[in-house]
Amino acid sequence: MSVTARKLQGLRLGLAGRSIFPMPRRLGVSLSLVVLTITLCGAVLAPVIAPHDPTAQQILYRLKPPVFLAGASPSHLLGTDSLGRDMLSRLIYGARLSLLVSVTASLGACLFGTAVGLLSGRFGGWLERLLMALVDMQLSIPFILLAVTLIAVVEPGLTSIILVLIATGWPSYARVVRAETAKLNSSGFVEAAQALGQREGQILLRHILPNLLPQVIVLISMELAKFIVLESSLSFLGLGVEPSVPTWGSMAAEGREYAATHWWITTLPGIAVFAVCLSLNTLGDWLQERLDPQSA
Amino acid sequence: MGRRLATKVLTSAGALFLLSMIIFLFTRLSGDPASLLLPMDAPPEQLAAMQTALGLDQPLPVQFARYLRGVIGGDFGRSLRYQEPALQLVLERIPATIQMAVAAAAVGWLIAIPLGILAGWKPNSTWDGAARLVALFGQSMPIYWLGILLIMLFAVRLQLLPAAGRGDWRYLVLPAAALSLNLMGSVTRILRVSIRQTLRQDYIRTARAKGVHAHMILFKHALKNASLGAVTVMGLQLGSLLGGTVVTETVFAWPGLGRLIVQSIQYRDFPVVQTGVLFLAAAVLAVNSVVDLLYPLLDSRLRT
Repeated sequence: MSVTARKLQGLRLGLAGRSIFPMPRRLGVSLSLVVLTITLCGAVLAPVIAPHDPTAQQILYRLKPPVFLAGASPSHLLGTDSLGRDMLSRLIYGARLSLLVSVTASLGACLFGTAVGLLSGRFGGWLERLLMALVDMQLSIPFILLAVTLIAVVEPGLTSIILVLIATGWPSYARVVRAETAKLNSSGFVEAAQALGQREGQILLRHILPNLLPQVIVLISMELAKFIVLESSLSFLGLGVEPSVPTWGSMAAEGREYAATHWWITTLPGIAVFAVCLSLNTLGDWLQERLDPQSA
Repeated sequence: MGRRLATKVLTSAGALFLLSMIIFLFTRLSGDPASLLLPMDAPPEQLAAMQTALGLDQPLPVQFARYLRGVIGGDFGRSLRYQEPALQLVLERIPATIQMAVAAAAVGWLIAIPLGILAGWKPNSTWDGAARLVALFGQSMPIYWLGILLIMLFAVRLQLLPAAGRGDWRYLVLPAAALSLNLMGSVTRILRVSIRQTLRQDYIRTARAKGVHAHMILFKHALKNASLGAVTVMGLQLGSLLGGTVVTETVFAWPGLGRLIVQSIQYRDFPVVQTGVLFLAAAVLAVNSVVDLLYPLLDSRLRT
C-alpha cells in the first residue's frame, strides 16, 4: 500500500463512516476514565464519603428502594438490603475491597509473570522449556476451576484470595513477555549493547524491559478486569473473603433470593462490576489499537 | 504426527499428575480428614485409631503414593458427606455438565462465527460495531450476574422459561444463554482480527486482481487461513466452558459437576472435590489435546 493510500485509509477510519454504532471511541474512552476515577476515589476515600456504616443494620429501614423509586427513604440514596444496611455505603466499601484485591494481585502476577517471561525469553534453553511447559500446563486448567480448587483448601481471607489470583494469573504475562523478549533479542540495539559488553542485567532492565511496557500495560488493563470478575464470582459462590466484609459478589449473592421483589439489591453490585470491567476493557482495547495498529 | 501425539499425551499426563499432587497436598495441609469424619468431642484414642485406619499416620509421600495407586485402580475414596464412592457421585453428574457446555457452545458459536466473519469482511460497518460490542460485553459481564438478570426477566417477569433445575429443553435455554455470551466475545474478536489480516495478504490481492468473485475470495481463500486462530480459541473455550459451568450451575441450580464441586467445598467433602476437579481438568486437557492434534488437518505447513 502506498503512503497516500494508507493516509486516505487512516482518514476514512478516523471519520468512521457507515456504522450505526457511532459511539465515538474518544467518548467511550473518556467515559471509561470517568468511571474508573470515580471508583478509585470511592475506594480510597471510603471511610470519608460513605454516608453510613456498611455493616450497620437498621431493621426498621430494611428493603428500602433507591430514591428514584416510590417508598424510598431519603437518607439511603440507593436503598437498603434485607438487613437494612445502606446499599451505597456497601457498594463503596465493596469497591475498596475489589480494587485492593485485584490491583495487588495484578501487580503480583505481572511481576512474577514478567520475570519468568524475561528469563525464559532471554536465556532460552532448558530453562525456557521447563518454564513454558509449566505455563502451558497451568493455562490448560481453566482459571476459575484452579481458583476454586485452591480456595477450597486454603484458609479463606484477603491474603489467600490475592495469592490464588496471582497463582492463576501469572502465566498470561509470562507468555506474552517471553514472545516479545524473544523478538527483541535479535533487534539491533540489544545486539549492539551485547557487543559493547554490557552486563546481562543491564541489557534486561535497560534495553528489553522498557520496550515491553506497552504490551504489559495493555495486558494489565485486561487482566485487571478478569481479576475483578473472578474475585466477585468467588465471593458470589461464597468462597471469597469472609462473609462479614461487603464485596460486590457477596452482595449480589445475598440479594438473589429477593431478586423477584427487590431487584436493586442484586442488580446494583452487578452494575458496579460490569461498569468497572467494561471501562477497563474499553481502555485496554483503545491502548492496544494505539500501540499496535496492525491488530485492530 | 506420532511424536506430536506422544508429547501431547505426556504433557497432559504431567499436568494431571501435578494437579493431583497439588490438590492432595493442599487438602492434607488444610485439615485432618479423620477429625472431619468424627464428631467434634471424639476422644483422642478414637481419633488416633481413625488416623491409623485411614493411613494418615504414614508420611505424606507414602500417603500420596497410596492415593495415586487408588486412583489408577479406580478407587477415588469415599464421600464424607454421602458415604458413597466419590467416583460414582462424580460420574452421575457428568452428563448434565456436558449437556450444558455443548448447548452453550452451540448457541455461542452459531452467533459468534457469522458475526466475526462479517465484522472482519466489512470493517467499520454495522456488523463490525455489533461484533465489538459483543466482544466487550462478553468480557466484562460476570456470568453469575447475567444469569440472575436472565432469571429476573424471563422467569420472573415474563414467566416464559423455568428459573432453575434440569428438565426438558426449556430448562436449558437460560443457562446456555448466560454461559454463551462469555465465549461469543473471544470468538468474534479473533475471527474479526484474523480475517482482516488475511484479507491484507498478497495472495488475496492476486485473487482480486484475477477477478475472482468477492464471496469466493472470502469463503474459499480467506476463511480457510483465518480459521486457524479461531479453532484454537474455540478449543480452549470448550475447556473454560467446562470450568465456567461451576458458576452457571450454581446460579441455575443445575445438577452438574460444577455445582457438586462447590457444594462439596462448602461441606469440606474433599474426596469429592479432588475427584471432581481431576475429572474436569482431565476433560479440559483431552479437549485441548484433540484440538492441537487437529491442526495439521487445517494447516498443511504442520503436516510432517
